[in-house]
Amino acid sequence: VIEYELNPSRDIPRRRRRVRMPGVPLLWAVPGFVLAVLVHFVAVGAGAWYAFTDWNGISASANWVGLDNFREILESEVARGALWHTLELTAVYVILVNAAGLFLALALNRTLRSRNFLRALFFAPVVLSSLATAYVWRYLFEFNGPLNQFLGAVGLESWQRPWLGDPSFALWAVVVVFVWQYAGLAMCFYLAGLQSIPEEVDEAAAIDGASLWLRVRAVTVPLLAPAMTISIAYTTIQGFRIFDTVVGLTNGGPGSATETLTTQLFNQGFAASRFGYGAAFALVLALLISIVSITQIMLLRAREARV
Amino acid sequence: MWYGRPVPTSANERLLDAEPGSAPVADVEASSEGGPFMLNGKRGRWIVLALTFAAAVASVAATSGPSAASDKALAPSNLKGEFTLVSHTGTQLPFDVLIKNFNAAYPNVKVDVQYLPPGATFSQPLLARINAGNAPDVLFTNPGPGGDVSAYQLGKAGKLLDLSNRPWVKRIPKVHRSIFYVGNKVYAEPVFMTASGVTYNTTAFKRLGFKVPTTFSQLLQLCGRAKAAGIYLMALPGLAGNEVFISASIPNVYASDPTWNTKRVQGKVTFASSPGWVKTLNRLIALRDADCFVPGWQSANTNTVAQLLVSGKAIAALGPSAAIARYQPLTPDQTWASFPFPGDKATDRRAAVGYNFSLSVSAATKNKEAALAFVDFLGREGQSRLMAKLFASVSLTDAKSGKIPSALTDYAPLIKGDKTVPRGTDIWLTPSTFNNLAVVIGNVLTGQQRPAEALKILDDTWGK
Repeated sequence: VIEYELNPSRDIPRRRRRVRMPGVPLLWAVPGFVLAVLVHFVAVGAGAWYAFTDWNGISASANWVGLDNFREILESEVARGALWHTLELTAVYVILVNAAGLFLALALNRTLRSRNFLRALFFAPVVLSSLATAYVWRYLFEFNGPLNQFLGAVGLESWQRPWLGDPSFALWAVVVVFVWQYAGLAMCFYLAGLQSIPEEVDEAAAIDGASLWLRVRAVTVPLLAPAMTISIAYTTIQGFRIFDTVVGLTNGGPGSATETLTTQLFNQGFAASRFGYGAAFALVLALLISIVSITQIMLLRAREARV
Repeated sequence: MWYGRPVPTSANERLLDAEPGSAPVADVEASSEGGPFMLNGKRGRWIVLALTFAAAVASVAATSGPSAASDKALAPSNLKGEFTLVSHTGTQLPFDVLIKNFNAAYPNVKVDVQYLPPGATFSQPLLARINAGNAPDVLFTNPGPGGDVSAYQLGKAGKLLDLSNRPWVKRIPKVHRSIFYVGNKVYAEPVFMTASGVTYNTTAFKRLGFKVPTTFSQLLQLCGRAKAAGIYLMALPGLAGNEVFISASIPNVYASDPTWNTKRVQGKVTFASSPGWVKTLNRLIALRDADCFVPGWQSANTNTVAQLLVSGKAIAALGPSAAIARYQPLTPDQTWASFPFPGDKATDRRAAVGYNFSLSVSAATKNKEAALAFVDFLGREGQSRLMAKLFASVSLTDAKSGKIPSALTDYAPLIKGDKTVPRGTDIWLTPSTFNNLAVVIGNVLTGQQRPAEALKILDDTWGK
C-alpha cells in the first residue's frame, strides 16, 4: 500500500495498458465495404452473368442459355486451341522471364559501376506501351524485315522465315517479345530481394570456400524465396492476361495459331458480336487465373517457410 | 439496268430472321421479284433510251469537276455544326476529296474524321465504342446482316438512326431492299456497289504482256511468268483473308449453284459438305504452291498488301474492287481495274456485285442535322457517282442506267449475261461467318488444318 502511495505512477501505466481504446463500430465500415464491393465485384459479377446468355452485345435483351457457351468452348477446336496456347505461352513466359530477370538482377546487383544506368536500360521496355512495342517487333519480324535481312547477311538464308506467319514459330515469337519487354520488371523484383540479403551471409560463405555458383545456388537463391514468390505469381497472372502483344504481332493468326483466351474473348465479344460467348471466355480465364495463382502462392509460401 | 441477282424482299426478310434449320422458305430464284433484271420488249427499249439520255446528261454534269454541276448549282448552306465520322484507312483518300466537296457546300460544318485500320482493328474498337454509348455521329458500316460492322444488326438493336425518309432512299433498287430495310426502316446509305474479284495493275499487265485470265490454269501460268519477270503476281493478306476467300469462292461455289447462300440460310447445305468451298481452298493452295504470293504472305495484313502493290512487288490482289481506292491515288501514273476470279472454264466466271460499304448515323448523335446533311450530300447523284468512281465501283444511278465503269470492264459480259451473284455478307445471318473466313483460310494455307476440317468452323459458328 505504501509503495502504491509512494509511487502511484508505477501502477498507472499497467492500468493504462489494460484500458482498451473504444472500438470502431463495424457499422462505420459498411459504406466503404459496400463501395468496394460495388466497384470491384458487382460489375465483374454482372459481366459473369452474361456468360450464361446469348447476348450479341448490341440488342436490348439477352436470353439465358445456361452452360451452352462453356460447352461450346469445350467443343470448339479454336477455343480449345486458345486455352492450350494460353497455358503454353504462360508456362514458357514465366520460366524465361524469371530466369532472365534473376540473371539480370544478379549481374547488376553490386559490382558494376554502370549498374544504375544498365538497370534503367533493362527496365525501360516495361514502361512502353505493349501495343507500340508489338508493332515495332512486328516490323523486325517481317519477312523482308531486319531480322531476316541480318540472317541473310551472315549467310543463314536457310533460317529466314515468316516468323509471325509460321504456325510453328508465331507463338514463340510472341513469347520472345513478351519476355523482352518484362524481363526488366522481374529484374526489379529480384533486385529488391537481393538488396535485403545481408552481405555478411555471402561473405561468410565465400570465406568458407564456397564457389560463386555454390553461393548463388545455396545462399542467394534460397534467400530470394519471397521475391521469387511475388515475381512468379505476378508474371503468371501477366502471362494469362497477355493481349496487346498478341494483337499487335499476329492478332491470333496465322489462322488460329496464336489465339489465346483474351484474344478469343475480344474477337468473339466484339468482332463477332457474341458478347455472351466472349464473357464465357472471360469467366474461364478468371477461374484459371484464380486456381493457378492460389495454388502457386500456397506452394511458394510453403517453400519460403521451409527455407 | 443491272443490279445483279435479286435478294428477295419479304422472303429474304423471313430468311434473315429465321433460326438455322427452320422451315425452308421460297427459293430466291422463285421469288416474285426474281429473274434477271433486264428490260425487254418495246416498253423496255423506251425506258432504256430515256435512261440512257438521263445518264448522258448526268455524265456531262459529272465530268465538269469533282462536284457535280447539279451539286455546284446549290448555294453554300448556312448550317453550322460539327460531327464525328469514323471510317477505315482504305477510304481515307476518297473521303479527303468528298469531305472537301462537302465543306464547299457546307462551309460552317466541321467534319471531325478518324480512320482506323481495316479488319478486326476497325470493327472491334468501333463496336466497343458503340456499345459504350460513345458512337461517332456518322460511321462506316456494312449493310447486310453478315457484315463486320453490320448496319442490319446495329439498326435492329436500336443503335442507328432511321434514315427511311432521306431523299436518296428511293434509289435503293427494289431487288436489294431486303439488305437495307429492317421492317420499314433504313439504317444504311448504300453508297455504291462493288465487285469481288482480282484487282490488278493494268499498266503492269500491259507492260508484261499479260492478258486477263479467264480460266484458273491461265491464272496459274501468270504466276510463273510474273516470277520470271522478277516480281510476284499477287499479294495476299494471310492474317486477314476474309475478302480473299469470298472472291475466290465465286466461280467455285456459285457457278454451279447461284442460290448457295439462300440454301445455307435454309439449312439445306453446309460449308464443309459443299464441294465448291473445299475446291476454293484447294485453288488457293494451288496458287500458294505455284509461288503466286509474295513471300511472307502468312503474316501480311491489308496494309502490307497495299504497300506491296504500290511498290510494284506484286501486281494483283484478291478482294473487292473498292480496294483500288487505296492504290490508285498513290500510283497516279498507273491504272487499276478488277477482273472476276476464274474457274475451270471461262463460263464458270461470275460477277459478285454487292454492297460491302455503307454509311450510317448513330441513334445517339447529338449532331443530327450536320450528320444527316453529310449522308444526304453523299447521296446526291453527282457525289455518289464521284464516290463510286473514286472507289472503282458503280453508283446506284449508273447501275440503273446499265453503265459499267472502265475499272470493271471485265465484268461487263457477265453482268449483261445475268451471270451475277450477291455477296455472302449481304445474306449470311451474322458477322461471325465473315470473321471466321480469315481463320479458315489462315489455318488451311499454313497447313494447320485440311479444307473440310477448317470449313467446319464456319458451320459450327453459323448463325451465332
